[in-house]
Formats: sequence, C-alpha cells, structure tokens
Amino acid sequence: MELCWTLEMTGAPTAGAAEDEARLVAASRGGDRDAFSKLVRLHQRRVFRLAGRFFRGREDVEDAAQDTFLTAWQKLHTYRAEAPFEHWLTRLCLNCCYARLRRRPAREVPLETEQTAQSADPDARIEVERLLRPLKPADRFILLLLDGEGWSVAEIAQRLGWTRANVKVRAHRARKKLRRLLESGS
Amino acid sequence: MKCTDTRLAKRLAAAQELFRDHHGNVEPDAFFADRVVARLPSQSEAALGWAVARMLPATLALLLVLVWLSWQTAPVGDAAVEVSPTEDVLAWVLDRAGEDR
Repeated sequence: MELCWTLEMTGAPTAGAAEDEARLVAASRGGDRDAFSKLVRLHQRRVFRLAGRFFRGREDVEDAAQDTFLTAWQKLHTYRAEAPFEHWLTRLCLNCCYARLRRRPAREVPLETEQTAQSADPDARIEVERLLRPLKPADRFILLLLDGEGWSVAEIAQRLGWTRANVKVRAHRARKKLRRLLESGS
Repeated sequence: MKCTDTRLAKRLAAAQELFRDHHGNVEPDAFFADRVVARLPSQSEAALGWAVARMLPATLALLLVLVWLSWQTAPVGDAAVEVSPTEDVLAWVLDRAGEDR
C-alpha cells in the first residue's frame, strides 16, 4: 500500500498529516510493515530525544528506542485514536526507559557530564554528580522528568498514566533524598 | 552555618543543572527504521504467540479438570488392594510352576 507522505518531522502535525498518520496506524495494525516503517521514521527522533534523557550511551538509547517501537507494534491494537499517536508512543517510551533503568544496577548509570567545562561551577557539578550516584532509578527517573524535561506533576501523570498523587509522592521522596544526599556530602 | 547553607544551595543548583543538561544527544541513523522492522515478529510468530497465550490457560484448566476427575474415579482403599494386578501375576506364575512339576 502506497501512502501519501506529507508528515512533518517537527512541530504539530497539520490536519492532512494527522490523517496520513491515522492511515499509517491503521495499515500498521493490519500488519503492513512498510507503513510501520514510515511511522518509525516519523517519530524516531522524538523517541531518541526522550530516551537520551535517561541514557547517555548510543547503544542504550537505541535499545530503548527499539524496545519502544517493538512494543508499539505489538500493542497497536490497544491504541485508541482519542489521543494523538505521539502521546501514546511517549507513554510507551517512558515505560520502556523506566523498566530498563530499573533492570540496571544504580552504579551502571552514572550521571556523567560532558559539558562540565561549560558549567558555571564545574567543581560543584562534579561533586554533585558523585553524590547523586546512589539515587535509585525511580528517583532519578522522576527528577529527570521534572528538572530535565521540565514537566509538571500533571504532565508526568498524564504521560505515564500514573495518578497525580502517585507522581507527587514520588517526586517529594526523590527531592527529599536528593537534598539529603547533597547535605550529607557537606 | 551560612557557609553550609550557601554550599547546599550551590549544590542544589548544580544538581538541577546536571539533570537539565543530562542528555545523550544521540540521533537515529538512516537505517534505524530498517533495523526495527527487521526485528518485528513475523505473522506466523505472532499467531503462534497469540495461540500460546490463549491456549496455555485453557490447557492448564483442562489438565486440572482431568486430574481431578481421575482422582475422583480412581479405586480407593480395599478395592484397590483386592484386585492388585501384582498378586494376579504372582498367582499365575506360581500356578505355572506347580503345573510344570
């Protein structure tokens, strides 16, 4: 099946592009691999950008992105077109990253920084990086979404499918732990 | 005290900056979509997976029912002992031995 390809890679999709995307989703649901390949190309940069928030290595980011799209292929029948496809995919990506973070021991996910020299206070930053290593994956995850992505509690709850109360409690705990770690390093 | 507070504030700011800048900055290459498609399970694999997922609980339930039925209908107590096939075979062997003599 040959589909008209007018979707833009960035920015909000136009009405026509949304229609095309809906057609691609429908075709993928029917087992059309070419249509799914186009869907992947359309959303891959967004998924990489989000996965890159949690992982630094190219291999890890790519694995998380592949997991996301493979899960999407398997669960396409559960997608209801009430919300944009992008939101559904974001949720899948976040869940894949969270599961991957939880599977790995904390010492394997250091918050190494490459732009230390650009930082206002490089010494403080390196020290903080060392202090944050004992943070649990769940705390790291929520802090990266809050401070890294700059999402609000409501946005995180909506995109992860968690309740607001759950996100609030986790965020509070994570911030408390972060503060305690930074204090104990004094 | 003030020095400690300043140091903590500095660290908190550095931590936030660290989270903000923490990014892999990895871009997908031109063949990423092809690699994903190559990893997609084929139709037959998907059908097999679906069948296993659907059939496994039914098979287990059937197995449980059969075990329960066989347990219900199996001879118990004296009945099982009286018609022990081992004894029948032993008696037959002894009879044969007597006839041979």
